[in-house]
Amino acid sequence: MQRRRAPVKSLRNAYASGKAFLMLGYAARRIAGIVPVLLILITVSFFVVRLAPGGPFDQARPLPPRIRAELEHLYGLNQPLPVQYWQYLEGLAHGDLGPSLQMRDDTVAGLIAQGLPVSLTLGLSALALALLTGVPLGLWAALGRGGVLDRAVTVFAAVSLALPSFVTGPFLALAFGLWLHWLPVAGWQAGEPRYLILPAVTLALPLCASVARLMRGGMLDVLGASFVRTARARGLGRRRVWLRHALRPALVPVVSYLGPAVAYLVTGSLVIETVFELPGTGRYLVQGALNRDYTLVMGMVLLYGTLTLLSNLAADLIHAWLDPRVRDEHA
Amino acid sequence: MRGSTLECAMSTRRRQPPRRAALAAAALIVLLTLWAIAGPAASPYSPNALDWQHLLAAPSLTDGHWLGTDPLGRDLYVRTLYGLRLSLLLGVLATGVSVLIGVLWGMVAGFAGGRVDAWMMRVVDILYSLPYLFIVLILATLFGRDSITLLLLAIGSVGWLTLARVVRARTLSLKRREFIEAARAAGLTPAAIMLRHILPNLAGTVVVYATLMVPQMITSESFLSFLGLGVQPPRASLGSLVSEGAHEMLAAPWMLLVPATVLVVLLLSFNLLGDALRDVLEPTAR
Amino acid sequence: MLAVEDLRVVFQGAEGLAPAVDGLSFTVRRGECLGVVGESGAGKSQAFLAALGLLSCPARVTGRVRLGGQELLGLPERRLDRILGARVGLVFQDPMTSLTPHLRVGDQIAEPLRRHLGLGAREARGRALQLLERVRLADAGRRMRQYPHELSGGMRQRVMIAIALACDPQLLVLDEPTTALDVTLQAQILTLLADLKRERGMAMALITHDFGVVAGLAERVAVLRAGRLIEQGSAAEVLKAPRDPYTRQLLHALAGHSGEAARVSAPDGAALALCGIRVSFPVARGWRRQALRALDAIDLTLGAGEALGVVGESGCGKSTLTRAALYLIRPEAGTVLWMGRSPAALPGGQLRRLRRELQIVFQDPLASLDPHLTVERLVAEPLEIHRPDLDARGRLEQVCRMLERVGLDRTLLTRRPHELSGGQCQRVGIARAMILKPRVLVCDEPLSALDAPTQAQVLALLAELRREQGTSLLFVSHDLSSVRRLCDRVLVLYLGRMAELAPAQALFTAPHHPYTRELLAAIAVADPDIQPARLAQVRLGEPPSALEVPRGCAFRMRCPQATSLCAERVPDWRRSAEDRWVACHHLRGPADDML
Repeated sequence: MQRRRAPVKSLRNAYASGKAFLMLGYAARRIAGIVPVLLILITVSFFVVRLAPGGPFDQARPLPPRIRAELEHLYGLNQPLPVQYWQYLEGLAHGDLGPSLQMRDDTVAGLIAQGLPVSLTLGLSALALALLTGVPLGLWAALGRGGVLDRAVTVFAAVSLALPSFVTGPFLALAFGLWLHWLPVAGWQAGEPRYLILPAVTLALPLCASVARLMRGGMLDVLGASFVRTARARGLGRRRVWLRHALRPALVPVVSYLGPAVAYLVTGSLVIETVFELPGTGRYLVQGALNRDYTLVMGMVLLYGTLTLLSNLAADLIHAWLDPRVRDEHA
Repeated sequence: MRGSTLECAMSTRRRQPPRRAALAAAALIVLLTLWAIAGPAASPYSPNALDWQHLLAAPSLTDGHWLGTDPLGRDLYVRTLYGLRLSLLLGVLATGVSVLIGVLWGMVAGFAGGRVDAWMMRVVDILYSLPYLFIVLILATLFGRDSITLLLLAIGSVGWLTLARVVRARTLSLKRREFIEAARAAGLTPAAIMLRHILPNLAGTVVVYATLMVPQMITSESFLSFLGLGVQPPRASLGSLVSEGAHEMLAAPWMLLVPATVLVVLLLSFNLLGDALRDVLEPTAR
Repeated sequence: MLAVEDLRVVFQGAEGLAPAVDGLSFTVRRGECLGVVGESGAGKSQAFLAALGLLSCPARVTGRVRLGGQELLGLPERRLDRILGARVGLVFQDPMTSLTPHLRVGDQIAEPLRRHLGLGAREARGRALQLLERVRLADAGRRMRQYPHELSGGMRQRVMIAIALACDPQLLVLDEPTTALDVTLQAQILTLLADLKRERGMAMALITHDFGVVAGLAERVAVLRAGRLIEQGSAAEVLKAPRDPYTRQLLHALAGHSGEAARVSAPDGAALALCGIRVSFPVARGWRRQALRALDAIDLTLGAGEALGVVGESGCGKSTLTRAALYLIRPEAGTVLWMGRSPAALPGGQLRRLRRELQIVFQDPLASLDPHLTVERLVAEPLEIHRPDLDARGRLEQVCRMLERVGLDRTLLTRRPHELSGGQCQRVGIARAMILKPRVLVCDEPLSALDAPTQAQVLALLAELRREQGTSLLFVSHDLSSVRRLCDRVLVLYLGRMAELAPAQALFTAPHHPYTRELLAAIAVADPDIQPARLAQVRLGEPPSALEVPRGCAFRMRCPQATSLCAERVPDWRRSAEDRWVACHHLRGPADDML
């Protein structure tokens, strides 16, 4: 904004930086708040996973008892549960997620390091795609309320939300891969963009629909607010009123959706990675749980839990940035 | 001010199309349900009967398999109807489980307030901080592979979180409304207030969310079945049929198209109905 | 200046119904203020919004609207934008929601300056500061950098006026500019507007439902009903000698017939007593949790059959007092006594049974009725709880009798609250409260959501019921004239403490506490001969926040008589005359004289 006069500027900055400091404090408190939640999460899933019937070494053809005992000794599975739990926590404190019980040449951290870049690329590009298309679509729909575009967006959103990604995925692969031969059906060539397009679009589609709906609803609510009318009564012109007065508050529902969106991306990526045979982290979760690969499941729970918690935190912080009232409540 | 909102409401009410769409959606849901119940009996085929003459047959009116067959020669029409029936059943039952837990949890937390509320919602927050299907997935892989009941519980036991939050928020705002104070001043016990004044006023919200939850539950189940963790063969749900179809999509695209279309139509109908109900029953929330 | 001819507004989707504005014609002359008066829904605001192209929903607008000779209707939006904010300034009703929440106050004032006058950022900033000082916003330099939510309602309305004045408009349109404010703030804003009008000589259109507001400012008055002009003329003509019966009804409803007011009934035994009541609410302020003291040291008895009024500005603890009296809020200290029994000492079941003797009527008639119940169920509910001896038919009989008593037709039995008008809802609320013939009826602002004629009817109903059943009334209101008409005694609350308690007649004719005096002076009187002079005397500043109650006498920051003693000690609650009590250091009561 306008900051030319020196004294005003310094005063303003002092005022703003005081608030910013309080916000930093809030962020720090929130991050600190994540730790106990994660601990509870680890504890509950640790015991649930281990109390489930079956174990990592139950196979179709049973192992000889001696080998089995040796394996259990090697991984510490013969110890009492609380001891195992404590050892796991100790390992975590040193950043050690432990070895995988099934893929015995790899550590859990190593597996994640292999798969995460793929999953992150996929998730982030889908998120970016959804926001970059959903926000403008929702805006246009709201501004041209009742018009052709509005109806089109409404119908598009309703249909996209009813399309599970395990349906769209195979369809898109069928249409663009097998029939049209425009894009590869599946696979991942070191992140070559051609391989990314179909999975990212599939993943982004319902997200884009949700974002567009939220944006439309948010904008319609704000356009009906009396401060928008006041701004119009100042003769500011529609465009300026929309951009400067209405847009920021209208973004709030979209921002609050960020947390659920990341949760959706995480589960959605499981399907996408299966359908398009991508080497991401999703498959580890399913495999790990099916094979009772305790450490691997725990690693995934931790990874996804942290991711979701952080995205919720980010949503709250952005919300506070958008709305000074929320900022003051927190600070 | 009041006048202008009234006028606006009147001018939007004139827009009829959403309502027609909702009626159509409701009709479609009823139709699909009846079809799923009665359809298989009316067909000469049983869902697991193998027809060696027609393996992977394309849809045709002449050989009796209207919608084609799968690689084992099973009739896709009947199998889809069976899948639809199972998916619907699981979706509705899981929704019932979720609604029951969610309404009780949210209402008690919201009405009790204070520390009870703080703790109850803390539990929800923690569960919420995990991707919802992710918990279902773990529960399903760990406990539910072979049992439909357990699958049901796994899906339903996580779906209640959102509802609990919504119901709590509604309860809190109802509690602040003066008619609840009036009821207290009239000498009603807390339990009676919850039963007589809060629960009936939650009904609209709950109906809306339950309607929107059914497709979510069906998606969850289909998703698990698609990953091979849900309904196990020889049983079929829409999800497992889509999964089978996806494997054969090059050779037999109808195997993907048929169950996927039914699934999408079903989900779309529930979503449309839920949205329309929300417009009618909860005009304030969008 | 502004000439409107045959203006007609029909909303889309409401074509079959009567138009919102129907053939309206009026003019606002240069340097003149036109008061536009009518009940809610009369089309007052719609007419102006339509004329200026600001309607928020699609509508068909026909007629002619000329601003200084230029036709406004049908003007393309870009041209209209150059007029709005530059040649016409607007101020809307609700200052809480009329400012953009995420932009600083200073930037919002600077916006029209930069756009219409082409000022640079620095110049605009300087001008904005001047404007804020011009509307007498205290501490304007700091306010410039604050966000709207950091300002109180009165301050925000000043900011709104500053924005409207920014480009020195020829016409100022004020849409219910003081309706959302307290009497004291209303008086201040009206004084400010009167000054501005005198200084700048601009034309004003003042839209309001309150003739008192019009009386101090307007030279001419137009009365609207259902989108039509009922009467138009000079303020003196319309207010003093209205020709139209509807105008007379509006005026009549408003003016307190102080003549028939207040017979002090002999209190025989207290129906309700409050002794040393204190109520606090925890408030989170950043890291700290702070207690907001809503009520402190309240000592009060309500005699059997007595009507006691409680008045004060918003935030003074009036509503909290009603909740504490009914024991819906547990006081932090002190005792509540119902007919001599303490609800705190009663077991739950007995407490609930005793509640039938104390009933309440709320402010918002719609919110106080369970939306899913029919009128029949609503009125019958207290019977279901407290009269198990009655069967369904007995209940229905009583319900019908009660409905008849409050003037509601039997055909309404099956309706639900949202199908009723505000006045009908309030009658249902009263029926529900009175059906058990309680000894005490607590009314929490029962009139403030109603239109003036309805207010008068409900007030009359309350008075009748009280006379018939001998019920005691605890009547809380910010509207002093209705209190004067209904109540025997009046309590003035200030920031949760009692300031003055006196028989109504005495309090209104000769207030003792300086706060009461200011409060009475702030009432807008619908008399154009008196009202401007009254406005000229308004003094009270901004009410302090209940979180920052000053030490010593809570009122001293706004008190014209404050001395060092007031800053040191909280004034005692003492008797100033027969039946009169006051908390002020500067009053010498008979007790002091005896010393």
